[in-house]
Amino acid sequence: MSNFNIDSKKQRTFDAIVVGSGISGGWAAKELCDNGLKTLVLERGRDVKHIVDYPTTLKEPWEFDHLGALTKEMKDANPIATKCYAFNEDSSHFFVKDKEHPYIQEKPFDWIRGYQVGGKSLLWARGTQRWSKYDFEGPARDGFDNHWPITYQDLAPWYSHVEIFAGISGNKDGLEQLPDGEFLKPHEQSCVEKHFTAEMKKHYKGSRPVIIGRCAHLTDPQPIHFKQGRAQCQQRDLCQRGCPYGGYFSSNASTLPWAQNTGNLTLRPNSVVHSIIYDEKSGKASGVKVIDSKTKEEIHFYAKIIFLNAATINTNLILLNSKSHRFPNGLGNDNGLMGHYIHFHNFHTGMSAEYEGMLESKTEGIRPNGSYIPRFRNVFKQETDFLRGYAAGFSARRPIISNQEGIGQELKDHLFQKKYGNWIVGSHFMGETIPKHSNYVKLDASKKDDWGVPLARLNVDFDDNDRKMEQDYQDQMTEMLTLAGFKNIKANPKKTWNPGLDIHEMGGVIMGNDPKTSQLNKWNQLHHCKNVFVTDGASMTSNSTQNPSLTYMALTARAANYAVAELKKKNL
Amino acid sequence: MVLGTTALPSWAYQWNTQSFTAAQGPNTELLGAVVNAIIPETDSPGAKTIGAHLYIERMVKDCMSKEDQQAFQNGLQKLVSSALKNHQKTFQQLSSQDQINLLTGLQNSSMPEDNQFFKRIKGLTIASYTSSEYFLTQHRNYTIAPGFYHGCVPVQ
Repeated sequence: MSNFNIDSKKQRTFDAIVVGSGISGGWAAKELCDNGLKTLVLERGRDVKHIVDYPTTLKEPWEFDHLGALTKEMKDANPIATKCYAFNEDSSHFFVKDKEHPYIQEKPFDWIRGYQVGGKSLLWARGTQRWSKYDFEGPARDGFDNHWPITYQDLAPWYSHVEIFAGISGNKDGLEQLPDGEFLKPHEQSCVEKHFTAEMKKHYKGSRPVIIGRCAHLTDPQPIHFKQGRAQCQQRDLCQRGCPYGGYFSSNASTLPWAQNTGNLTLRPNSVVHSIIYDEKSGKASGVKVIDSKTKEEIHFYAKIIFLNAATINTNLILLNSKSHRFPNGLGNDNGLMGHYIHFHNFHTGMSAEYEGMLESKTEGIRPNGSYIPRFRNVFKQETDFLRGYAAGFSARRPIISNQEGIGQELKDHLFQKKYGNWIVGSHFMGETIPKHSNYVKLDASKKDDWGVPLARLNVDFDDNDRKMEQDYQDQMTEMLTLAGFKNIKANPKKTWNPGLDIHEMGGVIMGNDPKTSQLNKWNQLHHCKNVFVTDGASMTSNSTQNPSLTYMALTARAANYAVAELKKKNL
Repeated sequence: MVLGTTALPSWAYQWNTQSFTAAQGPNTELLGAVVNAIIPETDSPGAKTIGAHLYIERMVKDCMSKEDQQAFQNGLQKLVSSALKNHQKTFQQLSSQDQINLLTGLQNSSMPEDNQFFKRIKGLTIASYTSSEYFLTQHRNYTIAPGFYHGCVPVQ
C-alpha cells in the first residue's frame, strides 16, 4: 500500500468508501474494486494480515500455557466477551475486551465484537444457508411491522455469485424451504446422524428433513479459490485462530487480498468513523469523518458512494451520529425509527442425549461442521401458538471414555485405555425473533468514547413468543430423539445467555418499500440519501432461522453492482 | 523447541525440560513428587516428566481465585505435615507407596476440603498429562490437521 498523504483533499478522495472490513465490508471492497472503483476501506481496528497475523494458528494443544483455559484476570476483566464460545486462550486476541469499548446496557446485552481487519469474519461459525421465499415472505404473511422489499428471486443469483467465490460446502437436498446453492463436496454425516435422518424421514414422512450443514469450507477447492491464494480445508476445526490455508472463508483470506490485487484498494486500519458528512447543497453524502485511533487526529475522506458495513450496532451508531441541518436525528432518519427494530437469533436452549446402538462403529478425523435441521414449524402455513420457527443444529459423535479411576500405575493404565463410550448426541436451538419497535439501540446523550463517538445504549429483550418457541423446540426434539431410540434425553436451557451472545444482532436500519417505516430501499440505499448503502446486518428486515452472513454477502454484492451501474448512469 | 522425532521416551524427556523454562515456584519440587505419585514414571513418561507440576503451578497462580489458591496451599501443607508427622520425612522422601497412601488418605478423608484438594490436584494432573505431546501422539493418534472426516468406521 502506498503511503498515506493526507495533505491534499485530492488524495483523500476516492470513488467509494467502505466502512468496515468484516464479512460484508470485504465483499463491498471486492465488488467495487473489481468494477474499477478506487475504493478506500476504513477499519477501526488494527491490521490483521492473512497468515502472518495469526499468532496461535499452528500451535499444538500442549503449547498453550493454560492448555486453552482463560486466566482469572482475563475472565474478571471481561465478564461479557469471555461468555462467547470462541473466546479461548488461542483466540482472545481477536476479541474486543469489555473495558476497551464500553457501552450502556439498559437491558443485558452481550455485545461480542472483533475490531480488526477482517472483523468477525475470522471468528464466525461459518454456517451458510440460503433463505427461501418463505423466509422473505414470512414477515408480511405473519403481520410484522416491516416487510421485505425483495424476494428470493431477487437474491438467488447473488447467492450463487458469492457462494462460488467464497466456497460453500453442502449437499443438494432439494428442499423448498432451504434452497440448494452452488456447493462444493459436502461433509459426511456420522453413522448416528444418518440413523437419525432416516428415522425422522420414516416418522415424519419427509416433513422434518435432517441434512449435513452447509458451511464456508473449501472441501474441494476450485481454480477460483486457488486464485485467491487459498487451499483445501485441512479439517483442524481451529478456525477461530485464523486459517493458514484459507480453508474457510474470511475477508482476510479471500475478498481483501483479491481487492488488493486489482490495484484499486486502499485499506486504512485504525480509522474510527465518527460520522458521515452530508452535503446540504448536493443532497448527498460527500464523505466520512474519521478519527485516527492512534493519533486521535480528525481526517475527512471523500467519495461518490459510501458503503456502511461497520457491523449492525456500529452502523446504527454512525448513522445516528451523522447529524446535519437536513438530518437532525441522524442521516436518513426522517421517520425516527432508525435504531429501533434491533432483532437477533434466540440460542437460549439446547438438547443432549446418548445412543447405545451402533457401538461397532465410530468416526475418524475431524469435521468443522455438523448436521442441521431446517425449520419445520410454520414454514408453509401457521400451525402453532407462536409465530415463525426455529432451525436446529444436530450432531452425534463417539468419544473415548476417559477412565480416571485410581491412582499411580492403576490410573495410568486407565488413561491409556482406548475404550469408546456411547454415542453422544447434541443439538442447539436457533429461533427467529420478531423485530419490535421496543428493541432498540440509541446514542447516549452525554457519554462518549475515547474518539468522541457517543456510547451505545442497548435495550433488547426476549419476549413471550421466544419462550413459547423454546418450549416447543424442547418438546419436539424430545419426541424426535425418543423416536430415534436415544436415551438420557435432556434439555439444556442457557440461563446466563443474553441477546447479543448469538452474535447475530440485526436491524435498526432496515430495508423496506415504504420510507415511512424503513430506512433503506430494495437496493440497500438510504431512502433519503441515495449514495449511502447499508449492507450489513443493520439492513435486515427480519432474521429468519438461517445463519445470516451468507445473506449479508449476497445483499452486499447485489447492492455494490447496482451502485456501480447507477454511477455509470450518473444517477449517484 | 528441539525435538527428535523417533526415539521415545528420550524426546519426551527433552521436550519437557525445554518447554517449561518458567521460573520455579516455591512448590515446584513438592508438586513434582505429588504428580509423579499420581501418574508415575515407568517404562513410559510420568506426569512429572511431561511437566504437569509446572502446569499446575501456573494454573494455580493464573486461573484460581484467592480462596481457591489458599485452599490449594492448605492441601499441599497438609501433605507436608502428614509426611513429617507419620514418617518424619518430607513428602518427596517417602516411598511411592507411602506417597500414594497419604494422597488416598485425603481422598477418603471425612473433611470435604481434603477431598476437594485431592480431586483438584488429581484433575489438574490428568488434564496436563492427557494434553501432553507424549499422550496425544502415542496414545490418541493425535494430529493437528487430519484433512479428513469419516462418519462411520468400525471400532477396531
